[in-house]
Amino acid sequence: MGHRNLQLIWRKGRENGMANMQNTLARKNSVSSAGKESTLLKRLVKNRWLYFMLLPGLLYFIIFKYWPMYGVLIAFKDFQPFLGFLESPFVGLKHFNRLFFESNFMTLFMNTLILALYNIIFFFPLPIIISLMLNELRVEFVKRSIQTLIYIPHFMSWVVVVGIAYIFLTTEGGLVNELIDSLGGEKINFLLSNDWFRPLVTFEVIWKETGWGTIIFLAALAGVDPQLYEAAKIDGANRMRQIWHITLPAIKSTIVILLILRLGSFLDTGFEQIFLMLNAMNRDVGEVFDTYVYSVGISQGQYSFSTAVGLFKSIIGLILVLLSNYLAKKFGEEGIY
Amino acid sequence: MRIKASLGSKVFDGVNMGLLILFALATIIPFIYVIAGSFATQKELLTKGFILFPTEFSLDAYRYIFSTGTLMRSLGVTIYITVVGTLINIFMTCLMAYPLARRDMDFRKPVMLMIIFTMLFSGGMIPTFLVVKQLGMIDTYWSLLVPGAISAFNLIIIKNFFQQLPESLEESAKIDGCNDLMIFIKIVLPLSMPAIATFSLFYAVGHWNTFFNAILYINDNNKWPIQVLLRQIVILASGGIGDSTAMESEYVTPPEQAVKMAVIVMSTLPILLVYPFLQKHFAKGVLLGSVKG
Amino acid sequence: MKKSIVKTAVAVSAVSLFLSACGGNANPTTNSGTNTPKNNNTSTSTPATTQEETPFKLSLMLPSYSPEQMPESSSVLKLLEEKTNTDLSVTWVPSTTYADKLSATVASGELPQALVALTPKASYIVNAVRSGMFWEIGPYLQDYPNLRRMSNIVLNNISIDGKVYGIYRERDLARFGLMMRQDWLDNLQLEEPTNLDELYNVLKEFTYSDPDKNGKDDTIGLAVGMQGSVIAGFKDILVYHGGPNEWEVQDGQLIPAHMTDAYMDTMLFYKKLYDENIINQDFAVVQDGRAVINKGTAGVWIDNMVDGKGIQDNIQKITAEAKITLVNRIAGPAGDRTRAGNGYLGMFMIPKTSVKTEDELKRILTYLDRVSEEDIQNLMKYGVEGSHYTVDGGNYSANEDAKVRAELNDSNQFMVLQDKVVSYGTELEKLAVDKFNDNVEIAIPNPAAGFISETEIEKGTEISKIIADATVKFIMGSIDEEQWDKEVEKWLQSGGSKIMEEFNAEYAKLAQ
Repeated sequence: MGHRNLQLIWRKGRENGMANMQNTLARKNSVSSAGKESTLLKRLVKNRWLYFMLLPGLLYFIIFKYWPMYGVLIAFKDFQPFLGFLESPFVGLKHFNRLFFESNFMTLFMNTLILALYNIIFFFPLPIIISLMLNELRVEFVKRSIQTLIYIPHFMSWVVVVGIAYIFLTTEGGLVNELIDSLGGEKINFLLSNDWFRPLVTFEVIWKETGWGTIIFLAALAGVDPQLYEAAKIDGANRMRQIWHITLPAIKSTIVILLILRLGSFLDTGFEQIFLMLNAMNRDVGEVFDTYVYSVGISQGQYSFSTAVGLFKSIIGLILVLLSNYLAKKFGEEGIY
Repeated sequence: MRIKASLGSKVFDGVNMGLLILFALATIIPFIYVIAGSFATQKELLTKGFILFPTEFSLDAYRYIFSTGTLMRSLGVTIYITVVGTLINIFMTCLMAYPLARRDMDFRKPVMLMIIFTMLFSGGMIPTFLVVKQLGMIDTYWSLLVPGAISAFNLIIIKNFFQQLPESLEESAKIDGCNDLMIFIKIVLPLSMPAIATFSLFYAVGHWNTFFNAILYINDNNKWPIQVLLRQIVILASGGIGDSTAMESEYVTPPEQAVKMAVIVMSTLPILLVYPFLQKHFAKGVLLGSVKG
Repeated sequence: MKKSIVKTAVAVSAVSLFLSACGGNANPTTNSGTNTPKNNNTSTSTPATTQEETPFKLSLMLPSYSPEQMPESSSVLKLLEEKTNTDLSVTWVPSTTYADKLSATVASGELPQALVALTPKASYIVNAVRSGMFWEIGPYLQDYPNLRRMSNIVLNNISIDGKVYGIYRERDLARFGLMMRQDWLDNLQLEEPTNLDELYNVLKEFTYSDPDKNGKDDTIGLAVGMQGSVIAGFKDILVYHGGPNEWEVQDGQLIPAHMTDAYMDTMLFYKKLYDENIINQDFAVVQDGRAVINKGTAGVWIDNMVDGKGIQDNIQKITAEAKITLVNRIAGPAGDRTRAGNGYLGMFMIPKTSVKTEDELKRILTYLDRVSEEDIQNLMKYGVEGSHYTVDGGNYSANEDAKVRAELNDSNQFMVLQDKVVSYGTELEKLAVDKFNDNVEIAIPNPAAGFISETEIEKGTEISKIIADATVKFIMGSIDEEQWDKEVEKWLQSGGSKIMEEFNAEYAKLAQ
């Protein structure tokens, strides 16, 4: 396309704020209505290749996801492995009662909720920001090196990460405290404090997962036509405006999808990290559903209770997904279904 | 006016690079500690704690790991399931994602809902185990390759990437007489290399880390992947934490601290080596040239 | 380009398969473990063991604590099979995932003929026992010369509803004590402490009197860490203070340790140590306290004395003259006491689904009995003299070759009794054995060990955290006595009082 057309695309896209500017001129929104003109059977035949392609995946989901799905009902039974699913006694809402009334439900819920919010507010945007920054790097070598370095923490297990946190933060010779001490300050008991627990956990996640999280966005950014930037520059846009009007829209739908999916696992905090960070002094803010279930359930082989808690979390996640998908569509985004 | 724009641009570049380098340092320094630790003596690690470079160099940790006869074998197993597994993953996931990305497919919404449902609700470890058993996959590598063939999460995002491809491409291909399968193979896949590279990486890492499923589905310890070995070493070196089953656990003398570090290095290295090869697929403007009318 | 990717992938897979084939034992006869529920070999004849009988096929499930499992070609394994006339097929399971794997195996219905239940009182095991899944072994024991020797105390510990359903795997009954820096004692001209006051004194001196003579104020008396949510060493100090081992009988009633006076005394003892900087201030986040003493800056570690050698080896890397001594008797208001452990680590259980006849059961018991003979006990502990170790004039030295050593990986998992094991080892190791034996004289058992309380199984772990956390908080000074009492109250109300009721009901039954 000519230079002039690129200008048009860039300007029009900026005005309309549409997600994918390369499709601005090409996209037609009319497929669904056009399709309904022919009968279902005709469409099935016309699209038969698509259905063939769909088949293996469908089979997979049916066999490996839906066939075992009855396991969800373990939440309503007292599951004994040797009795099997059918013979295990049915107990109705017993486990849910235990969860809601006999545990510290509100504490667990608040702890889990707050950590989840910290995660979405402080962690979620960072891979986006970092990938945008990486995208702006002009020196290819620096870009590649940094890309390769920042995702390394993802591969360290939590055992290692918490171990490193200990080395840095303990009051007994930890690096950070030694530094504070030498500067004349008072040592801070990071690891044994209610106040520091949440920031610390969130910080650890940021450190460990931000780099890895940029990969998806970088893949999305790879599809952006560099000439659009040229067109924008000619129009006098500075770097920030270029990012705002070209780069960001290119990854907008990816961001929305990831956000919706993240909400689906909203109450999942990640067991291992929290478990390793928990101690007597921070349990009040640190005990979350996943760690609670562990102490009660799995180690004693009590599957029913952990399944019940998992079910509760999933239902909340489902509600959030439906809600956020609906909202996304309202705002003109694609949504996940 | 020209000069002002490029100065602002340069400042931006400078600040940008500076911040990124700081961030990279923050992520890499602990890893340098781990690498250094893997080559350090027990004495140095105990007394100094945090080091960036060992003053006394020692290969003991690596010697210990390599002395286990099973290392090479389990490495082979892991490579096998990673390569074959990832191929299966990409094949299955992309194949299913494309029809779902096409707006003219009728059952899009119900199928998507069905898939999303499985992301949120799952039968659990034992029912899934029973299914795998009924399919006769217990104690075979299939149990590590098939039950995880498609990740709903990855599927949804790949579908999203496919959706962003301009429809004009498909339309012109159809006019040329291609059927959907050919469009998929000849047009969609090549243009989606960044996404495919990304998810190959994701799936590969998943396979590389296979641990629990191997123990659950495979009884023959000769068939275990490398993470089983490495995890045992790390747990032992950490004083047995995570060993929740035994009230009084078996008293085993833990291997040295450096061994734990060496294990991490060995777990990380292979994937680190893979990534640079994939990076070229993240080159810009992949779609360039395809839309030009 | 895609084609070349596929080609590369195929090539890599081929290479990896090759690697896996030749990297380890290229043993074509890999067996898959948990099969052969039906057993076509034990046929016939009289239990009289004759050499001509074909080896009895026995499938086992055992936990593994090594990175690498015992290879099938292990000469130790072969010798074991020869001596017991069995053809063993073992399914190894890493200890960290044992419970999940066992549950899944139980659910699948394909169990080995004998499996180790690491936590015999876990709810799914107890329920399985109650529904008749396992053979009751108790009545058969007296028919076997070695199994007969099993300790009544431990048998009681493993019993479910008063009956014995498994063969326990013996571990030393009482292995706890103090591991102390002998060189520090010497430097400060101190004697080994024999009671609590002397212990406090030694710890204080270790902290403030520069025992390593380096001019720096960098030592502490006692290394403390966490073991799960429990403070390392606490239970032992508790017993030294006259406290109970988990539960105590007072006026005919069982009461839990944390409700005794001795518990408060112990907490105050630790609090004093904490306030005076005699223990590491960050003990509540230390996962493995051994790391603290291994650094060389702590004087004492309280736990299983078998660790003594490892600790000494580690410290000697830093300070060559370091020496560890073992102290097992610290007298308190009730004299010399020490804590008895369970005395076992898991037990062999025999499922009725895979062992259908009494004859087969007896054959398996014969195997377990034979394993408890002196020769096999030592075989599984040390291997074969000449191959795996040599004894030169009383000095034991193990074969350093990795492949040879691997033949003994997890070998102790096969063992049942360990009372006939010869003790080789260094001076320190021999001392440890002496201390273990000495401990038996003064060991206090847990009177509630044999009882089952439903509430305890369901909630025990969960509510024990209330007490464990409160203990830490009290020691660190963030709660006072009044708040402590409130926490105990909370424990009672969250199920603690029910547990007490249930245990006491069982106890009452026994007293009749």
